[in-house]
Amino acid sequence: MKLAALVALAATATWAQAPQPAPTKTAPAKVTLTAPAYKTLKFGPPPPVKLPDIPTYTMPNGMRVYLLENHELPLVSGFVLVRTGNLFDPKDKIGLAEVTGTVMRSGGTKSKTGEQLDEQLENIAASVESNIGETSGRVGFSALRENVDEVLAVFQDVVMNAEFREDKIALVKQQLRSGISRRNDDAGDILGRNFAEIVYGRDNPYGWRMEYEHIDRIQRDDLIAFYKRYFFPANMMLAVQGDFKTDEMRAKLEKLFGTWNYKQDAVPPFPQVPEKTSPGVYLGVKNDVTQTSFALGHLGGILKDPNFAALSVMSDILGGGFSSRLFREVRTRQGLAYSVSGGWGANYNHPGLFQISGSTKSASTVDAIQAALKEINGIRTTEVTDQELDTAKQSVLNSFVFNFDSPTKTLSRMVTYDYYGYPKDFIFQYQKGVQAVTKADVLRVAKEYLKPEIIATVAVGKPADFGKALTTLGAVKELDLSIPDPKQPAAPKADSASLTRGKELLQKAQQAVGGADKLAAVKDYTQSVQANINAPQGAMAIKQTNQWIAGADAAYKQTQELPFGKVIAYSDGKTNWLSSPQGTMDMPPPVLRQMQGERMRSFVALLLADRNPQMTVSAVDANTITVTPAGGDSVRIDLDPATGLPARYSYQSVGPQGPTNVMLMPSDWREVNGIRLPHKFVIEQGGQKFAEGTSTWTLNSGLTPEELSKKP
Amino acid sequence: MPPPVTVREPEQEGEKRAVLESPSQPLLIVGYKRPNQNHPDDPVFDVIAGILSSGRTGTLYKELVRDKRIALAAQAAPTFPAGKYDHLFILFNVPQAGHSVEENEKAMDAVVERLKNEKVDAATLDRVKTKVRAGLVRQLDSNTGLASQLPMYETFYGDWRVMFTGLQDIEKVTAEDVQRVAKQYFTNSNRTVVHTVAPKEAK
Repeated sequence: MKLAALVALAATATWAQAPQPAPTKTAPAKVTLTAPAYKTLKFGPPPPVKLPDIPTYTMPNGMRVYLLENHELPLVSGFVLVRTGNLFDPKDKIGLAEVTGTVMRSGGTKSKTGEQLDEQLENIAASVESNIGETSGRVGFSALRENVDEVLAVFQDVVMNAEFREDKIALVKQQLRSGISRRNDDAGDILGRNFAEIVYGRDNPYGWRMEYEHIDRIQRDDLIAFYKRYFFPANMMLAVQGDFKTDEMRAKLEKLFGTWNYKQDAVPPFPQVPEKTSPGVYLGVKNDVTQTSFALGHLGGILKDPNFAALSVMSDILGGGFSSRLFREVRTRQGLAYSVSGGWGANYNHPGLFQISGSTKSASTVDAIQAALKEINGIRTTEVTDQELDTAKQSVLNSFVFNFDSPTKTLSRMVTYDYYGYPKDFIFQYQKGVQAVTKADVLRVAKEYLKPEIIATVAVGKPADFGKALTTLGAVKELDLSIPDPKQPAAPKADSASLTRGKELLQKAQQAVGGADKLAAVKDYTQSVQANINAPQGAMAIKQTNQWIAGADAAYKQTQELPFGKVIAYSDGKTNWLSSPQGTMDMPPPVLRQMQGERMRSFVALLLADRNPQMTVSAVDANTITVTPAGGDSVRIDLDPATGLPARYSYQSVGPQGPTNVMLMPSDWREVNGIRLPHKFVIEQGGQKFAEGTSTWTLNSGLTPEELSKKP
Repeated sequence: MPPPVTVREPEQEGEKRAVLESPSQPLLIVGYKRPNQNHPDDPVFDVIAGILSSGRTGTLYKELVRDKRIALAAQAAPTFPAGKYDHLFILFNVPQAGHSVEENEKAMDAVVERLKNEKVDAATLDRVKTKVRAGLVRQLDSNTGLASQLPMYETFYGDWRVMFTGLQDIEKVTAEDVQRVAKQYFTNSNRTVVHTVAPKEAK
């Protein structure tokens, strides 16, 4: 049995066995109706909060260290706090910080894969985790005392030697894409996201939004560059607390991090929140709900504001809890909302949100919002009552001690204050500030800080069921909740010059493969593909057959042989079906879109696009054309300047994780029936290599639509 | 005090299935009926849940989320919704976009079948037990943790000490127990499978 077990069992023994012979007290033999024991408990005033001594020092390499010895339990935990954050995401790669923060740990280190770390840590019930949030990054660990050396070694390895293996990058990207596809599932999520975007503005890191195209652009090199830029000792604070002797822990940390001399330029300050307002009424249409989620407010402030104590008392009275005005009035008295709350939001280094939010049945949307607005106006016009002031102050002051109920919290707070440049005793200043708040202060800050004229109101729900139209509140702007496909290379305006040039280029390509007439003589083809697909669990080999018959409505059939059986897709524009071992069905819309694309991109049809009135061919530059079918997705073809052969096809396809940008690179051109056809290919999806394989071709074998369209 | 509930549901005689229309991405829950927390098999269910879904080494996470990438989340919970009376051992699954509920159900079934057909290895069993013990020590870290755990054990088990003695029960669980309980309870006729599907008119 491991040491961990002994420790825990020792604890069990003392707790479980020692007090056994006291059943007379805990379980009275006779049931008599006396007052329960807890009613007679006596509590004195809470003792003053005493901050523990936290030895702090800076290593020669600039890493600041905080140690808090605490022998209550046989545990040691700690973290590094790193000055970075998703506010430093590049504009075209939103999400980079998040992906980096996750893969830093899941992608393993130079010497161990993420899976090996999982096994090693979980075997000893320890953890090492990393993440990057808005204004900081963090790598933390937790260990039973007897494993602390082993866990510290892993912790150091992750901090200093993260390897960012591709498979884990792909996994996170896939999860983020899935998250995007799910982001309109929940009205509350839609509300929260849009409210913040409206108030901060979508043109800056506080309010912008991650889309498929950003995720697709993020590559391993980006992660490594981000990591190297921010994870250096002088940019870190290291805090450790728990069951150790300070001297010994100091020596251990010295050994692990003291000789790490990696340097980078100082990290610049975080971007500013732009000074702007977006007043108005915004509607998010979600027709499948019976209630409306709403939020109203504007920018909030920062914690350092000298009026923060008064603002938090005001905020508590307005929307803090069950006794707040909003709750009593809007919910309890008028019965307009099941929940309504909110208030003044402040952050350490940038304005938070002043936000009141709630939910109400669709019919009372406008009434509930108006009732909330009335309370905001009310607290700005008349003083609150003595009782309200007292309750709000007491609720802050009485819960004050819970800020110190665990050593981890105390240590975290201290490091956080240092990180943002706040005084060590900030929380005690706040406590004093709250004690001093008067009714006049509350009115003063409500008047000064709450600004009804710039309030943004956002409602998400089913407008047809709103009792009163939302326009009662003002002009309504409808929110665009669509989830954009990844951006495609912009198709150039097809002016006559580019059309002519496009045709010339296409004809050059036709020449290169054997001439337009030879292509036109192809009535059908069968392409047999052997491909290796890069799946995270290892390469997977698949066989696929593509069959095509020429015609105004070309018939196209794909047969894939997969481990669990055959999947066949057929489309000729009118008839579309999909067959798998589970049976045959009509093609679901995403598959249909993909199949229409494949039909259109079939090798011969694409090269003869200039003969098809449904297709537009135009030149992008000297060696690139785009082919756009009427009402379909366009394909970009880069031609090899030397040979004129297609070197790369770029298009958008619908993969399992939503739309993605695909690039197909054909090669190994060999002649079949006088036409040069590619016998090898590589496919990239979303910027990652997805598959490679070989093709063999049979032309004009007499395929018929009747035969091809036959269901299995 | 209300009188104790003694009525028990008649034995389930066949698999129950339901599909719930919901305008969201799909979710899947499979529930197996199990006896209440005072039954001797209670700690075995805890260990099985640990094997299936504890941290990144849980089988469901490893297979469905990490390797096959067909699920965003796949977890087991030994006690649903609560343990005082007979209740459910559940498997919960959020399919990845582009992967079906059926595919995920099949993959979870395969994991469950393996519990029945193969003995869990000693290292896994040891890991799960170690984690349960460490979890307890960590719960003692805060007063809030203590204040919520002690009355819970006192209420549910009639004795707060079970919070600690329960560890010894976990310790006694063997690979044979795991296999036996899996075979006995994780049968098709003893389960209920529910998943959501987007309503027809929604796009």
